[in-house]
Amino acid sequence: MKLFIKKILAFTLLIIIIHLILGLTADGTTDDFYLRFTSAKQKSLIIGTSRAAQGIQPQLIDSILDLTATDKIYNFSFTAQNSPYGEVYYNAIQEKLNTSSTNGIFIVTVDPWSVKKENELDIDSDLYSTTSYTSYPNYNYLIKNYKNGWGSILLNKIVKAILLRNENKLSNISGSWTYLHDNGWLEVFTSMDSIYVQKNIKTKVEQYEQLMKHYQFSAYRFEYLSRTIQLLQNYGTVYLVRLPAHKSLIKIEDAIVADFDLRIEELSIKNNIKYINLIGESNNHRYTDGTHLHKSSAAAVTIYIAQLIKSYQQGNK
Amino acid sequence: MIFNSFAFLLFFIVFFFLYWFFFNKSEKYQNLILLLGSYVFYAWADWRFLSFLISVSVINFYLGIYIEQNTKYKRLALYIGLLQGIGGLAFFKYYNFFITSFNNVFHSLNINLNLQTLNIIIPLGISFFTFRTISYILDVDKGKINATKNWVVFFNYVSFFPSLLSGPIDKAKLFIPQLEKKRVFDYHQATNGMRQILWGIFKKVVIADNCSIFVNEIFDNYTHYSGSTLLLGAIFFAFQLYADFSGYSDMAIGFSRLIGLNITKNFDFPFFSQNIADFWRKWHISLTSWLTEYLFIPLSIAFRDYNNLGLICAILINFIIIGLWHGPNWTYVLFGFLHGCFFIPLILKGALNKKQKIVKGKLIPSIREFINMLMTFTLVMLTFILFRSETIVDALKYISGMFSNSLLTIPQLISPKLNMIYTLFCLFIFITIEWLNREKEHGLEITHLKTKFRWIIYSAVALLIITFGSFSKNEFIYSQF
Repeated sequence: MKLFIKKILAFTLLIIIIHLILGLTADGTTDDFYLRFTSAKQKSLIIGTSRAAQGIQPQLIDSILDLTATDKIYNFSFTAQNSPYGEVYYNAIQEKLNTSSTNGIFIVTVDPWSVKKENELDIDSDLYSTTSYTSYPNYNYLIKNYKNGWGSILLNKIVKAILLRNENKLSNISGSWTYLHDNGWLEVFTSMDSIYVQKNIKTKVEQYEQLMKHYQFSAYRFEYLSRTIQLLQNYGTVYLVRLPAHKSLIKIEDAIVADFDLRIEELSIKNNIKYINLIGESNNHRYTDGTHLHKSSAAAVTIYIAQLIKSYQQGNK
Repeated sequence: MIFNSFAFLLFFIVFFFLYWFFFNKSEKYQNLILLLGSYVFYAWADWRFLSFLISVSVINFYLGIYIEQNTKYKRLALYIGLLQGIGGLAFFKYYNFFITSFNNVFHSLNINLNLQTLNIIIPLGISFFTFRTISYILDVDKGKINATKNWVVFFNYVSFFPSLLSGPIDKAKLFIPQLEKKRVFDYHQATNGMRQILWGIFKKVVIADNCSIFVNEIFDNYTHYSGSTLLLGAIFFAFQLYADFSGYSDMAIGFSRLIGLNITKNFDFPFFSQNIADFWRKWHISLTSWLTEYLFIPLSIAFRDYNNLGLICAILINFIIIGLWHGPNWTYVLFGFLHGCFFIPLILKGALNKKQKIVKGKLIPSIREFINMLMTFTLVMLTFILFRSETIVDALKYISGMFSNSLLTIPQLISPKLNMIYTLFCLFIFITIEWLNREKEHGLEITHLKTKFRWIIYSAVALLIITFGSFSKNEFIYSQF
């Protein structure tokens, strides 16, 4: 028995040590969220779902608004499943917020999916299960939310480094893949072949047509959107933004909440903040699947938002 | 609480230490802690039916004793036992199925019966523990075993936690005698158990759960994919089902060994079978041997005057029951019926019991053996489509999509493409290891190798689990049966 237990303990210890080491190697190649749970508390944030996660590039805002060092803006957006407005996301934002500053910039993005009446307790969200938002390495996040064997952390690191070097040669084999930057921007590498994109858009439209059958607007989530804005206003200036999307998706969104823009307008007036509605720009951009901006368009949209914010700031002066 | 979860790991560690260090004085104490552990395990999974499980144990315990006493009411006691077992299964598992089917049949005759279905929750593991109690009272009735007078032993037999939710279905004559003796820790038994657990985890989290990602995508959207991709989906599902169920069985056998008990082997590398009869000797062995003993043999005796026709009828009934055992759906019935039909050529050729085995120790099969394996696998894989589909119509549409012109094209890589490549790589390793160890007890029985090589192999398997394993808390497929 002693020998058996000794061997099992040795094997277990080895496995634990390997996992601790693997956890240390986790980075932006690990998954689409990990780094956002490891960075320090932030003075300026981008809030929203995957549209914002992929569609707003913090480094461009930093350069246009001359944000340096600790003032840099951080993309703390996730997905419609993980970060719709609600108590869970609100608490996560509070955890991530550096409350020592009062001159932050907060880009709060909105779309009908971020205020949908579904799973309002958000118990399936990665934000619900994680208690630590700023520790590195974040074993708490990895244990609770990383659904693959931790060896894949290292494997992803190696494979994505190879893919990054040979993006064009290997795109057929690799398919779509992502890289999470240190500033929270999620870069998506995917084919922009027109047939492939059209197929993606078609699939996405079909998905959203299914979703719209059960869609209900959530007063609870809208209330939390309002609370989130009020929270952030204590620490800087808030800008409400609606990012562009493919016209077929906008059509669905218009059908499910016809007065969505009106509600957001009212919210912005009530809180005395600017609402930057870019839906009118939708036809000028490229999308990977209809709902997410391609990185080239994301750059253009980010620059546009940053310049608008700059002009608002100058107007205030 | 599934085997490959952190909760089960903690549960088992606590149980293991209590069992071997604090309750090891006699078999009485060992059985008590084992029973307590089994009930904690069951209640953790679904506490609502713990009282049902205990009631079933109580009823069958006393029925067993009563049947053995050979009073004039012996028959009645046996029928009560069978009624309780089969009736319980019929009510919980099949009531709504039969009501809906009756309604549909009469509706097609323009008669509106409108019988009401009920909102029934099926007790976990009911198919498994019911078969255990039925075999027990039948064996007592036939005098094959003596009824146990020790209720703790019997209750343990019914609710033994490693095999409670998904089998194997142990027979009392093999299991109860082990419970009546004090278990002594055996190093070799325990290490073999650990090896089998490691292999079971590999099958579940690396093979089954990774295959399931692509199986779900392909089966849920089969109209979008080419025939060759649908074929790939069907192959993935065959491996998912096998790895999932045999992985569970490996873990169940492994955990049993760690507590000094041996339970029935459930799989014997079925995908290397030479024909369909060979396949069913290797697939879900505990169920097929149960049905062979208690259904097929009595049926074939009853039909013996009809020669081959009688045998064919016995086989068909047996396989329809096997199909129906899996669940209340016509897809399972058709699955069983088709497998029964696959036996007909063997019966007509008189080759039903002819065991065709690949020559021992051969590294590469002959062309004939390979073709036999491929054909058997293809038949099984095609019928597994029924297993995975919601309805027979869905299955037929899937199969017709598969046999379209696009069957001969290159299969589409399903997103995430890299994961698909990893899964194919792991499948290759899996098949290779299973092939090399096909004459052994399980894929990782490598006791003939030197310690150094054994540890290299354990580490490699652990590395594959750590690197390619999916830990999304996917339930075992057979726990729903």
